[in-house]
Amino acid sequence: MTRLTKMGWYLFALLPVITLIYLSLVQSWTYPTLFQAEWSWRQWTALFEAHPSLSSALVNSMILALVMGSLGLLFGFVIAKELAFQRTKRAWLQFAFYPYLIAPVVLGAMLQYYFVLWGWSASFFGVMIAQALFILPFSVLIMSNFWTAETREYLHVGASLGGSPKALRKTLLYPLAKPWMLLTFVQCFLMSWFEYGMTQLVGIGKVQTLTVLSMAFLKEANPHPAALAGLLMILPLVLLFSIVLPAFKNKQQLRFAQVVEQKNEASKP
Amino acid sequence: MFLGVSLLPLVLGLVYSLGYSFGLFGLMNDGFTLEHWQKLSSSKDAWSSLVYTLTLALVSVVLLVVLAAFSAKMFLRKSATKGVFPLLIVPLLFAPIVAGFAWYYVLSPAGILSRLAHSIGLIDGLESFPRLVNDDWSIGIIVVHLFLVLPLFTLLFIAQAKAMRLNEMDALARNFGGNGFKRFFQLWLPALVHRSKLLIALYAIFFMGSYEVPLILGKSSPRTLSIFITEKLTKFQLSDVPLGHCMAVVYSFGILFLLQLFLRNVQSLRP
Repeated sequence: MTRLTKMGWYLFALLPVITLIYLSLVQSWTYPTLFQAEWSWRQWTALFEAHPSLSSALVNSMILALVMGSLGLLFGFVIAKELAFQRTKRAWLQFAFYPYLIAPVVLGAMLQYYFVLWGWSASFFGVMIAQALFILPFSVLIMSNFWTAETREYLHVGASLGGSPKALRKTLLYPLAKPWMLLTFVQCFLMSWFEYGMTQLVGIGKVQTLTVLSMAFLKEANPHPAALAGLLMILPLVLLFSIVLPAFKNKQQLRFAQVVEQKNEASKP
Repeated sequence: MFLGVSLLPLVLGLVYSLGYSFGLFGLMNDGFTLEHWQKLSSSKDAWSSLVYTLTLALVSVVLLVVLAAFSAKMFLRKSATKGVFPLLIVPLLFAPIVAGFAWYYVLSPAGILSRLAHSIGLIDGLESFPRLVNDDWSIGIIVVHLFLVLPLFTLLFIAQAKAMRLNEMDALARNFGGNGFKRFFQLWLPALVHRSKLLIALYAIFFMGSYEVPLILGKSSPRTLSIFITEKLTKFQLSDVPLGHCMAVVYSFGILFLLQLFLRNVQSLRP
């Protein structure tokens, strides 16, 4: 790798991070001050006093993402298993692609009428339903990657060797499925954590998540709290990834990448 | 259960949008009419939005694939990739909206790059900095699209190039006298594209649905389809609502059509 490409990658990957940190640490930001700007920790220390909405948005986002991650894990695991053993039903999987491919915000806009009709609009519950509409089908898509012919054969072999269903689950199914379950949880968590359009449409600003709030700050041309909100969205992920990545790493260096390669929803623009 | 979750919303949404676009539902409508569709087909705004979305997706995907193949080739050269590899994880931490506004403050005329250029004396003010956000060429949007997905594709291409032993083939091609340019465009790129064409197609569709990024970095016109639809449907300009529904129908059927093409290539899903 030439030094130039290396530099390029460093700049490309780190510039946005540096910008966020910088914006959260400076105060008045008139052109063309850059290094002479007024530095202060105030944004951070007054995090929850100055912007009380930030803390509640953080809690909202976290609850939503955890619920969606767990629901996705459960739904994906059960349904993918169901589909895997019935030949005729395997073709159903293609129906999961539509909600996965369409822009959530468009799906939300088309369904807004029903949300208003059934009184789900502007409520936390409504946002959960809305997110579930595209997160749950996606969870089935990921989990069905686990059900290869090989996996099914393993279970058949286990069963024909006399394993009870309970023993099969404990010694075969769960250990084999563990990385995929972890991945499903993480992806569903991320989808919810990153979601803006549909949450905004269905929540109508009443349900404030970090994405909704940072867009609001941005529209007020208020970059400093927006950067803070952005960093609040990144930091928990650093924690999450540092827990999750090693779980994939012991097989081989690129295992995670190969897993992500299957379908990465998280970076869907 | 599964069908209920994945199909029902689609059917409900499509029925409502179709009905609305033909004048069957909705406050302002009174009976079947083709008027809204005629209006849509004669709307310059709608056409430019459609063409713009397709072009943006195409350009993003082409750049994505070429740059990812190039980076993968670079990463597979033995010399000193250490330290760069973890960088590929960084963009995975970014929500599209966060990446959008971080890059906005990097690239905008009053942003970081402009200030840097000013402090080393390259430019003498806001005006002389080239327009990189909300610009005619959508440079900002494409940069963020690449930022979000390029690392992922680079990782993918590295894995695939290893599996296909492209490095060895590259050495072979060099022995036969292929120059760097030829080796890249006749060996690396075709091999990698062929191997992951389905995933590339998926990302082209994602780019077509791009919402937050063009919302922050795009111009108000032309805008992407998702912004067009959302604006028409939610901005309380009642006369525009049917147009939004027409466009939502066009977009949804477009996706369904592309999906059919796509699924035809996925063996495992065939009954």
